[in-house]
Amino acid sequence: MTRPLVAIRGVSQRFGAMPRKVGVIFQEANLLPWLSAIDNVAFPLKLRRVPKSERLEAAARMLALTGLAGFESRLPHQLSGGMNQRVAIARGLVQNPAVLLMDEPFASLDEQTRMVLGDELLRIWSETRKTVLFVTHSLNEAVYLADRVVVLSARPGRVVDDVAVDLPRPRSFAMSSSERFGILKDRIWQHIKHAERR
Amino acid sequence: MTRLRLGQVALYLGILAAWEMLPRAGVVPRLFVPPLSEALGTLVADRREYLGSLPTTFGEIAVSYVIVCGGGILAGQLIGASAAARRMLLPVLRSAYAVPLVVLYPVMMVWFGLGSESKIAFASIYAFIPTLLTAVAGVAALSPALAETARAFGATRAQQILYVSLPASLPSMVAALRLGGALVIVGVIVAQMLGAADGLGYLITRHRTLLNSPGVYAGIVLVLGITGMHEVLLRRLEQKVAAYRQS
Amino acid sequence: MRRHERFIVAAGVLGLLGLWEALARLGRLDASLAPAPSTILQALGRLLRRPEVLQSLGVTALAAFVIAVPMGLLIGFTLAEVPGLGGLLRPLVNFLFGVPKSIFLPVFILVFGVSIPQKIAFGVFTTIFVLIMGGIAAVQSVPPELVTVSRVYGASRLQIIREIYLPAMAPILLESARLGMVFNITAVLLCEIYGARDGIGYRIAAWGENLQMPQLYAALVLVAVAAVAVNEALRLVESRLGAWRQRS
Repeated sequence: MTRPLVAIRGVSQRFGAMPRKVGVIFQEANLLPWLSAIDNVAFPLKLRRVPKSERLEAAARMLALTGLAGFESRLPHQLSGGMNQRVAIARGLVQNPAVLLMDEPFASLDEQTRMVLGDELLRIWSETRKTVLFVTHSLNEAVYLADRVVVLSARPGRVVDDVAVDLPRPRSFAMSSSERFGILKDRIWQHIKHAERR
Repeated sequence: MTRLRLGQVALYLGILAAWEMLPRAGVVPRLFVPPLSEALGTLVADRREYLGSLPTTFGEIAVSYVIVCGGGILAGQLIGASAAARRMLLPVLRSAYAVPLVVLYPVMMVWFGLGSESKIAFASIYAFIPTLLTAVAGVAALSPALAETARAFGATRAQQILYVSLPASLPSMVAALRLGGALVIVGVIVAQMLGAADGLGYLITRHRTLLNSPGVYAGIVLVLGITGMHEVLLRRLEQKVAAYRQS
Repeated sequence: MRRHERFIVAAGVLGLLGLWEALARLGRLDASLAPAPSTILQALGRLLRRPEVLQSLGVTALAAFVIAVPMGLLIGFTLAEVPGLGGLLRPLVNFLFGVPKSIFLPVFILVFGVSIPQKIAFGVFTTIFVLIMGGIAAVQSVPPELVTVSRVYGASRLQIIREIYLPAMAPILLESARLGMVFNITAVLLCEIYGARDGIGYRIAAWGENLQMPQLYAALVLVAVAAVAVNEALRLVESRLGAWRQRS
């Protein structure tokens, strides 16, 4: 069995070296419930034995970036689901990775929070310009957030389309009711609809 | 049979075999652990003595059972229904749980003497609080809508408990019964061990003072048999109740 | 508890004590069975002037605790972590856990005679099962997704144990330790009452036999208060370290 090969910025990486170059955000925030927000964000740095003052400073900056300044000492059970996901995003960013992997990060949140966080994500992205690999089942989310939507088929997952989203940035809610938006969504839907029948 | 099952059966047989072999081989002194066959043999040989201790024992258990389970469940129904009562009593009861109730037996002996009353009193106190806590938890978990509906139909307190609360919380009540019963059995036996003129626990102690190991173990095996049977019966009851609720 | 409810409970308790005192003073109660609370308090005062009275209990319980906790947790961890072993032994452990340990006291006396090792051994025997179950539960309570997260961020094995396992397991471990201690104290007291030559349990039994009621009740109060104090102290530690377990 071949080892998984991942290329980041054109340079192939061994799997073991990935932790720093990639920030991962899961569907559940998966924060450590006994740590405060700032300690959760600083956690990857703690694992790499970064000195305390340095990692707390970096964590504080990330929390500010994700709009959670002032909530540093809160525990996860004191924060809402949306806020916990923001902490998770901050944690994903704290090591300044080249790539952000987000696996359906907003799937367990309600619609309003999804939309707010979507906009927040775009804001964070415009400030940090990370490459974000965002997995979603929502057509809306895909077209709204992305520059490029890669559509995968059901098992086995093969690339069935690669859609360039040419909507202007910064994206706005009004765009999501534009004709162009609808066309893009429909194009993607055709593939998925097709796949369902099979 | 699966491998796991096979492994477990082998394990149990191994333990029983060790119980038989090791004392015989002298690896374990026979005074400490007599061979299994000897212990069982004593149980059979002296069965009149052991069986003779059972009426008293069962009698004490039965009375305590009624007091603890009846009283405990009734009190649980009353307390569990009232949030205020729960708030006031639960912290006190939970702290009281830590008190080693075994120290009360000397007091019971002073008050009631060596006879059955002291055993019943002790076992009842010993088992009461855990049973009560279980029953309260069961009632507290009920949806308040049930009680409100009953009141809306004009039910008195007693009717509400009897026709609504009790049936609805039945699984928890059976769980309370199971716990209370187990504690009552242990309470009675331990009390008999500490000071009695009759009963299975008394028998065990007497054999111990006579250094009659097989006798002690025979008594313990009998107690384990009683607790085991109780456990099995109440598990069955719990399953029946659960099935009945399913339908 | 709301404030006025605390008041009610306190008033209730004081009321009962007051009633007891009054009845005893009026001669309505048999003094040989239920001396007045004031008499008991005096006896308690005299008892407290001899602090070594709880020494035997304390030392024995502590020794048993110190032995039982590491042993029990180790066994529990092993059962939970080693695949197959846990499944094989689990029913047996559950069965042994459900068996009342008190009835085995005569066996311990047969083996060790009436002695301190006997009391410690019996204490260990009673306590260890709580710790085994607690160890198993604690390991199983660690959310696997948190282990995954830490792996993703490059944690070493040691780091996973220190940063994820230990904090996650702490609340259950502390709770087991507390429950174990409660059973432990009860077990050692039972030993002292059943057959011993000293210790507060022995004194209680002796005072009972000699109908020295004020001393007997005073000792009961002392033991009860001590046990509850230990329990509450451990509970305090438990809640401090487990505050994160609340659901919002």
